[in-house]
Amino acid sequence: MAILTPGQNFDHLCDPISGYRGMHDLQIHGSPADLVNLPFFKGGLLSLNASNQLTPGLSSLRAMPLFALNGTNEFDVVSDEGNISGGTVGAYTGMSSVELVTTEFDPTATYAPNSLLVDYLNHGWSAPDGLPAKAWVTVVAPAGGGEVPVGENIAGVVSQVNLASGAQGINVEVYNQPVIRFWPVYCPARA
Amino acid sequence: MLNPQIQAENETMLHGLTSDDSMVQKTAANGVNDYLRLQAREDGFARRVQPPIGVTPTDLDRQVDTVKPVIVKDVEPNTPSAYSVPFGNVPLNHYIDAPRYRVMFDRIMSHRYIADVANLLTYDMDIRQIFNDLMLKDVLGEEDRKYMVAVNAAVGPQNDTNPLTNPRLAEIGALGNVTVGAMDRTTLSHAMKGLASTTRHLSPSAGLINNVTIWDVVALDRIQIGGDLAEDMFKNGFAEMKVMNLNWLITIKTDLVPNDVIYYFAPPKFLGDFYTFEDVTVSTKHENFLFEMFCYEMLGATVKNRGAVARVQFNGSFQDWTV
Repeated sequence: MAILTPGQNFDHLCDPISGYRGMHDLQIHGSPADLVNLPFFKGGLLSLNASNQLTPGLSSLRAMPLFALNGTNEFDVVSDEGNISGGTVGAYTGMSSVELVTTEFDPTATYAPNSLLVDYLNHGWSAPDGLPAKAWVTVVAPAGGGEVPVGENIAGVVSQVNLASGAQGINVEVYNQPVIRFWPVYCPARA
Repeated sequence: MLNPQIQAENETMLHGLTSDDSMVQKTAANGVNDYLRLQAREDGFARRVQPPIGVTPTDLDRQVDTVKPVIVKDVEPNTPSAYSVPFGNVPLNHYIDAPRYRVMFDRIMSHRYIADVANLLTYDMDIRQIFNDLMLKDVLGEEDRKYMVAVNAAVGPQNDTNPLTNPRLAEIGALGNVTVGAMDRTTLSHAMKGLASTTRHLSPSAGLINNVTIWDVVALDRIQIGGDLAEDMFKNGFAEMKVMNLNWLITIKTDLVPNDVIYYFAPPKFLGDFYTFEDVTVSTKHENFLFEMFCYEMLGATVKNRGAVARVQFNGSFQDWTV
């Protein structure tokens, strides 16, 4: 019998700390593209693939960023063998009017207010990082004139950061989870 | 012309929602008459295969690694077989234990339906009740869809005699998904052997068939099924009844139960679980001139026993249950 081990509910976060509208939030629901080979955690950056499924990272340079409300390690998304529960995940979109806190970001990057967040998968990810890392965001520097860099699909803009020395702008949540605060945006890449 | 009674009911319903309590919840009710129906809908068949049991928070089991609701169930243990010994021998030891499994819950909900109350008042039917009924059937349809995903996983791949690729064969010694050729008395009898052919030796108590394939049963003649039954079915069609000591459940969901297929289920206590934590509930809200409603439920169900379900397709070549 296949038995699953879920993560603690507070290990991975996707919290709308501002803008939460309860029953009228702008969300999207869909099936994960590949539970086995493309897992992701709550708070991860996703997008729709050509089959209407949610897949880690941005599937194209114009893909709408989505931020996972549920991870593929949660019992109401994927269940032990024989159970009927699960099958879909929810996500906030790049157009959702919220400020989010996420645990799913590149921990080697430095985050400053107004930093532009992009898909780590297209920007530094390598196979040894492991599959959950595919759903991270990371930062990208503006182009020379200060404009949005060419070829970068912007998924978010960093909000307030931790200004302590050596913190790289990364905040710490109540159970010591490293997090960043940001606003989801939709800014498709320019040629 | 508008039906004054229905219009009055619509007005009463809508104006009744202007109380201080803006949220009104009620259990979904049955539908009403007086409108043209375009398609047949039905309640869920999964609830007939495995009757639901309502559970409360006290039935849930806490888990240290998740806050998701879970119920932990024990499974009947296996025991090593007895053996013969000469006099003076003592028994071998076997530790007393039994496996467990989790029943996991999630939520099923309908779309949220919204309308301006002014538009609702112009219908000559009780549109809220009708949508209640349709939402309920949509939720039950999603239950059935998910239930059949678990059932199809349990029966395994069709006609697969390789235990490496058919885990059911390796686990309980028989296939769970076979083709048997065209439907007749012989293939129907062979189909009944599916559950009994496993190492768990269960007997089916229910058969699930769609409303197209059931006419192949009706087509069986007096030589195959006897004169009285053949005549009765020819005159009256197939009413749900016990044949071959099996309760036949007929569904219109041909996308879930394809043509030429019958699923066989052991009695519920052998099959798995069906727990409703929140049974189907309709939530309605009336704010100024906007009316909205949706329905939702929270349930956990399993098809945990592979030996309690089998699938037979009445075409193709004949495949025996065991290899």
